[in-house]
Amino acid sequence: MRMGTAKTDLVLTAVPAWRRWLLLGALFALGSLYIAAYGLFVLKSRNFIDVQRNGRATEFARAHVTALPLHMTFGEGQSGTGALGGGWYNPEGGGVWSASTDAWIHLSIADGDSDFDLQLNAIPFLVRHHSRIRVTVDVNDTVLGSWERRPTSAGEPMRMRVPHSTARSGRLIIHLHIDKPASPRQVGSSDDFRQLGVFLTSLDLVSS
Amino acid sequence: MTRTPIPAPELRTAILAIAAMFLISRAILLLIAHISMLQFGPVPGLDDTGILSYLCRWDCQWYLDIAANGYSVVEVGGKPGATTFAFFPLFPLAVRLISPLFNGNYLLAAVVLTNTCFLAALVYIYRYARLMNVDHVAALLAAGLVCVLPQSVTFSAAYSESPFLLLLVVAMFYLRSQRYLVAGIAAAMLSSMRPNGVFFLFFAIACVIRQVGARAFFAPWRAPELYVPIVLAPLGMFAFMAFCFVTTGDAFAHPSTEYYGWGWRFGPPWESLRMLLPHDAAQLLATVDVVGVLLCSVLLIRQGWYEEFVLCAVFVLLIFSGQGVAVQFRYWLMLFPIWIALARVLAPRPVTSAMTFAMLASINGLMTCAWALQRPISF
Repeated sequence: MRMGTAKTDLVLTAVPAWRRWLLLGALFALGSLYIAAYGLFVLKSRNFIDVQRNGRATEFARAHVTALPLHMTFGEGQSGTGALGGGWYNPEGGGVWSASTDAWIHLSIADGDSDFDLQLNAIPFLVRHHSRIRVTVDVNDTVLGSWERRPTSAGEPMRMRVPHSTARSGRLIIHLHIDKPASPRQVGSSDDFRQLGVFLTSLDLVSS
Repeated sequence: MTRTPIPAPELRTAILAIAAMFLISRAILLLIAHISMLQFGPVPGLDDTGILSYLCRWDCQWYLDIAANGYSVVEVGGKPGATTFAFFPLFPLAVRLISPLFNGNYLLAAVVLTNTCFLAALVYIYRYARLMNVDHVAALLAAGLVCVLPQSVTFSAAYSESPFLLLLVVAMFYLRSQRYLVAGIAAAMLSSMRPNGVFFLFFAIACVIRQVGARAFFAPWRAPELYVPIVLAPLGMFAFMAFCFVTTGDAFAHPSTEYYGWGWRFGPPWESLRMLLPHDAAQLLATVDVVGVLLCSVLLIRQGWYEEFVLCAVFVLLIFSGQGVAVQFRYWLMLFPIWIALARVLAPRPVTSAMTFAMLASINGLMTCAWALQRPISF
């Protein structure tokens, strides 16, 4: 007989029924534990690299309280790189690529008594088979705008008004949510397998 | 399936032959590494202090670091986002446990461990082949093939490849032999050795379905022992996830750090197909390798080893989904059922066998040279 090909291969051990049920119960309990643990992991886990980088950027922002008007650039070795939290690749020559669907920038500003105008200068990753991207920006958890970018509007900056009430503490956590990052490899434009969303070059913040 | 014991004299002969193949192949690979270093070395950034150090390249330092210092969330300077959480714990843990026997020399401990595991894995590959009704010569040929496959130097290096291979073949062997608890324990260890270890459960599921039928598969109360390997298989991986959750707050610390540090992520397998288009000599070699493995995997179907085919197919899909095609050489080494099936075809054809061995050994020599010199093709 060929191995593993016939149902008659199955040799059930003559174990008492109660032991079979006990084993079944134990296996079921372990299986349930996996499901419960996985649920807990999915709900409670936070990307530890993002958490670490956000922590470092917070510390940097605390130590570098800036006055307005603020112009910050994000290329390699430039003024803004310390403010980059989680969700970014390494800064390159003229800016930095977002690395996932969520990316953060941390700022501390000398307290003002008016609203602020924030402008993010970023170029989305758009190619022929990936011609639309949506970026939503919130500051301190207040959503300030959402921009759809297509090849025709790729170079336009994202401008928003930050209410004073949102930034009363002087701490700004700018969160970008990018709905469809893609890798150049995925869309067939190059062998770069990084997930690219927007290429952030600079940020401007002024009092209104 | 009941196991027919291999006659003792035959097993003794096989073990001696396997030990000889193991020693000769390892000695030749080390010699190639040594000559490569004499000819083209030293490699900038590597502190080579002797033959043993040739077995520590690429990821080796990560494993040794975990063995010596445990896990750390610190991102390594030269590689932002890269942390030790990218590496599963069983191998470095085992190295740490046995390191006192080697005066705390972690590299020596790791190399002794991996080579012992590789030798044991070769013996189990032979036994597995015999269990699958493969004759003595073909079973030995299968073990020999694994010794000469391209990048088989990683089986002797401080890498988790050989312990993984051992656990995989042990889990499959005991599942086929209907020793479900042993298979389950090996499977649980397998999934704490490397992330793809958890996919053993596809083999286990296929085995149970083939044994009892698809309908009876959903009536586990009839023979719950059959399900022990299936349920135990993810245990090691979940234990590591729980550890990550407790220490970092991120149960998915492994994929998180792989994504940022190495740019690895899962994607549709067809994305990797474009990578197979050869644009340089290294990629051409990789493409030939991929096509060769895929063709050889068809032999599993031809021989009716559907469960093994399922496992190999899942591994192949995983490699394609995980951007691994460019660095796939050492990943294919694990697919030992393919090499058994190939050996079965080659065994009655001595000339073809010799040519195949010569070709694989030549590529392996080239890869070992690249390994010693830490060239990207050998990653």
